Amino acid sequence: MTDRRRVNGPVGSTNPPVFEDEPEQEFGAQKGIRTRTPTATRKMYLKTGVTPSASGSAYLEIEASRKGAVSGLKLSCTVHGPRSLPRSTPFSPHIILSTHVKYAPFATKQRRGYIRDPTERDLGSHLETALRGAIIADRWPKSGVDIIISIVEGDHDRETSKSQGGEAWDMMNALSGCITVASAALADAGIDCVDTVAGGVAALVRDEGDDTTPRIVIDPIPSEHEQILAACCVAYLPDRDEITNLWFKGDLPASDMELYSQLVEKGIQASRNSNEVIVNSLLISTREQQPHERHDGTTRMHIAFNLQR
Amino acid sequence: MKFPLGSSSLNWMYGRGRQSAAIRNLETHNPTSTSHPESDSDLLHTADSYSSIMAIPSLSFSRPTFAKLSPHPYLLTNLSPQSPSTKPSRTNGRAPHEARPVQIHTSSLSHAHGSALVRSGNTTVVCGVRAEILPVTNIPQYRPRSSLQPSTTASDEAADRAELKAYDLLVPNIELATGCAPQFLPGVPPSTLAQTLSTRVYSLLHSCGVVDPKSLRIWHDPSAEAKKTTGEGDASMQDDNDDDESEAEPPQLMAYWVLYIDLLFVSFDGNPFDAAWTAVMAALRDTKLPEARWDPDREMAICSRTRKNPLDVSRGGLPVACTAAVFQEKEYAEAGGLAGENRHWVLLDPDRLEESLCRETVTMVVDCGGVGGETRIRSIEKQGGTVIGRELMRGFAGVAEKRWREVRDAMQ
Amino acid sequence: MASTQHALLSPAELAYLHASLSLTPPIRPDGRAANQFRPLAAETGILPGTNGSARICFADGTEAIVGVKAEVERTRRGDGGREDGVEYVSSRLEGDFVEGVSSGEGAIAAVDEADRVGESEWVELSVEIPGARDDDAGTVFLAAMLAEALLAGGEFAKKLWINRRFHWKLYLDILLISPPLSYPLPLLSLTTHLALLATRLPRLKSEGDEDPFFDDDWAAAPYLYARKDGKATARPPVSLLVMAVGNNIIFDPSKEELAVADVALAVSVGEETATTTAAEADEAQQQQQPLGRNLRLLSVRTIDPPSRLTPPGVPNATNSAYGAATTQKQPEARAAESEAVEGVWKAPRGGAKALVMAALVQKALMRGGVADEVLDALDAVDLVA
Repeated sequence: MTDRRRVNGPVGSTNPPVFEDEPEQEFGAQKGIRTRTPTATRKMYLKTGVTPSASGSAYLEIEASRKGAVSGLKLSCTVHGPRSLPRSTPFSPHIILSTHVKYAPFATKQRRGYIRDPTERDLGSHLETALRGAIIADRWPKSGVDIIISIVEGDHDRETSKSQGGEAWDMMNALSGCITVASAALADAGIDCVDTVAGGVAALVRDEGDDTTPRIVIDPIPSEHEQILAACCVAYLPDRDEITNLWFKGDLPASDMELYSQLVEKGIQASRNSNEVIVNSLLISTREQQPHERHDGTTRMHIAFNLQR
Repeated sequence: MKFPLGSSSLNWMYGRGRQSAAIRNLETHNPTSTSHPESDSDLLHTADSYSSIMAIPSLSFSRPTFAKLSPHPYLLTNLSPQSPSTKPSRTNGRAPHEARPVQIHTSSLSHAHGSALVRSGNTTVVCGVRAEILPVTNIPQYRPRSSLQPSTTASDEAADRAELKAYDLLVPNIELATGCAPQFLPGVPPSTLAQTLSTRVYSLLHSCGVVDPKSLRIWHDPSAEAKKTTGEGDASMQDDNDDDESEAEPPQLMAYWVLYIDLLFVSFDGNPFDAAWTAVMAALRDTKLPEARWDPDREMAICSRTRKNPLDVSRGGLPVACTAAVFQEKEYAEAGGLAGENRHWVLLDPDRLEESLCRETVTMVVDCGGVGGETRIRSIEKQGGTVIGRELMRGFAGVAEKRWREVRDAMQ
Repeated sequence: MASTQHALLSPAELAYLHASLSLTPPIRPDGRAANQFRPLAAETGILPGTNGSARICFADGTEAIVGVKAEVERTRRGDGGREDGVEYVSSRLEGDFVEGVSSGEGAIAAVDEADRVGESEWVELSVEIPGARDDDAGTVFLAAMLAEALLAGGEFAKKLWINRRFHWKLYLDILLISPPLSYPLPLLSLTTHLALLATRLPRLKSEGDEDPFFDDDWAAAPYLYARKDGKATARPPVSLLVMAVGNNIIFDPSKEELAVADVALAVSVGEETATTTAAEADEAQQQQQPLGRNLRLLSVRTIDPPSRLTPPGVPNATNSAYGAATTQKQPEARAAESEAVEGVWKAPRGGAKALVMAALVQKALMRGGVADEVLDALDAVDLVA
């Protein structure tokens, strides 16, 4: 069944380009090695108000670690609402949150489809959990808010092969970015939250080289490490010191709870870093908005008017 | 955003019954609004029709509220100022024939083979071009091409175009449902607007011949392959090519590159087509395809990581789209009424508010980059309304030329 | 979301439930202890057409069946998505044992256990919940959670390796056949666990990288999870649902209990082949302790507790029926909004402390804890493939 509402392209299937592995040595040299300290996050750029017609919006960009090899995450988030629900919806004492995360077709190593796949839906439900804890939902009964995130560019390495399971770990970074950008957009929309929630990722990694003991790094890039043993993404409210969403994945001995706790602790630390970025960005945008004329840009406000047809 | 009362406020007299419900609601928000001064010239000629005018308190609204409540009169007042000294201007502060400046950034995406971000006022669109390989064996009705000869004659060029279209090698798609404006929420199939835009970009790409099909072909040259195995370098191979041609097997076309051109609206504030088309052109000019060779053993094309060739888009020139909307004084003028009775303005590069108030739009695609700077019109599209006739269209070409220069400058 | 389906309880009922679950020890509506699972009936081998199947019926009437089907599939390498590894394929077909291209270095090695690489695409897991679309967020979330635990560490996918050119493709169909009376995660996870334990794959008769052919004697078919003395050494993962109310940690909550949860977590636990050293074994013997299971923590996910969507109660002080002034919005009304009144239900706001979450996980994993208990209980189920 072809989708008649889109331009579908050729009937026969097309394949993404396959590269020969000729620059083997160059490849090896290029292989990233983490140069940041284990507790440093990559630089982030966050700006609110990128989509003026939406109630709130934000754009997040995480710097690319190396030129050409790893793309930085680029996310755009819009918030529409709070607005009244359609008449057919049953009464809700709280605001109804709907989250929508979608990768752009050109965002990742493989071309994405136009319909959301399970990964994107899964990201959406994680995001919903993270935000629901932060929003003061009972201030808007009978209303709904849509939070839409387009991942313009994913945090993917172009060279790492799939066998390393890179994609699965990349999802954590994407989720963390989604939480941060959505939180900024919610604040931009003026929706009351208990605190600005922010996402952070920490991972237990083993580096190249023989028998190094695993160490915990924050804001990991899968390709920079030999192996990722476990990772966790937390959505954290710094003022309340609470976690609204925790997602841990990996393989840890159950006897070593200490390791798990440390991982979560580092995730919180990463989230605090992101939170600082949100707070700064919001401060800047409120300062900018001080003069009332900002959105207008015109000088002619002296218009008398009557309804005459 | 609330403007102080008095000089900067918009005073809106309570008028027709149609709006009264909305106004009554708003009254409670503005208990302090003062009555309108009688000396106001606007008031005088309407005062007799509303004898009890002073009994009704006037209201003042901020500009955005006003624009939302009654957009058509709002725009009309802006365009027809009372005093002759002020020039007519649009609600966004632009003159009627003034377009928003265009900003273009290219190569910002690393997973796409070519990309561009185009910002025109509050309309922001991202375009990513992604190339994939279509082996000819996957094409159901494939007619093999016989030779490698460059196509010089006109019929060859026509065949090239037919080839591009028959095998569907260009796949433009526009995604509007990204929440870029309140009416475009995701989770729904592409809207009529998105479908129309995709189709317009698709047909314009083909009719302008933007992409040279030659750069999309992947050849297999058995003779060159044979030489490679004998250990000769690339450079010498190319030198020898002419001598061996007679005895060697002719090269065969094994696969095509398919360009998936995806557009994503980040922010939408009117005039999507111009922005989308500019983004497509900028992204295609930015596109670099890896050098590919056919591997007969594996029956697949293998690409080089290091060598990349820019896509050839020179043949189509630089077509630039220029859209305007026609705003009429009377919102619901009867069809067939004389156009002269109904004042109109041609608004270049309309924003979201203006688009919602105009029924007639015209898009002209021009290319002034030809030999001797001659302007060539590549496409004209006009929808709805009867205002734009021959004369206006001629004048509009001049506007489009100006726009072409603006966009060209932004691209460089 | 399916997890947040409304329990139709009034604010008064919610307040009562919350209070009784916060007592020490908690009083649960069905009289269970805090860490007690619902009684269940389980059987395996119910579907003769599958490689492994199981059915579990919980005492509350929810019931699930899982069928596992395996097919031989050609391993696709070098095309369809992998940008590298092309040279790798050809050299392998020619018989060069060049390994480790994925890590960017070549090394010559014979094929042994360590070389087996599994891919997550070899497992296809589908969850069906009656009354929910298969692309419903809740269903996707459940499927993602079950798959994530199964594939964690990459050990499971390795079991599906046949030779360099072929692998098993495993289809897991997880069906809830009763209406979703409670959050179905524990039920689905336990049923999947049993089905996988009972799964057998035909014995491979071919050797090396030739096209595989198999022994048609079903009795000779080995189990997917290798067994020793009739007991599996490694086990598929189980996902447990844990929630916190007040100071209590409650396992396997019912729908009503989940409706008053402060925080709810899904914790996935796996068991690996015990690789205890001799020294450890000695120590255990000295302390007269049985060797515990070698449990692994595979995944933790926060479940959006439906309690956030429950209607709040109205304290008498602001209830007009009890004589509170019904004036318009007072400035204090907002302030009062956040104050909790004893005995009046209010949906929880914000998140949970990291320590609380850690305690939930700890409680599930600790030696002799709930995970141990559940795995012991499942051991008792007779396996019929």
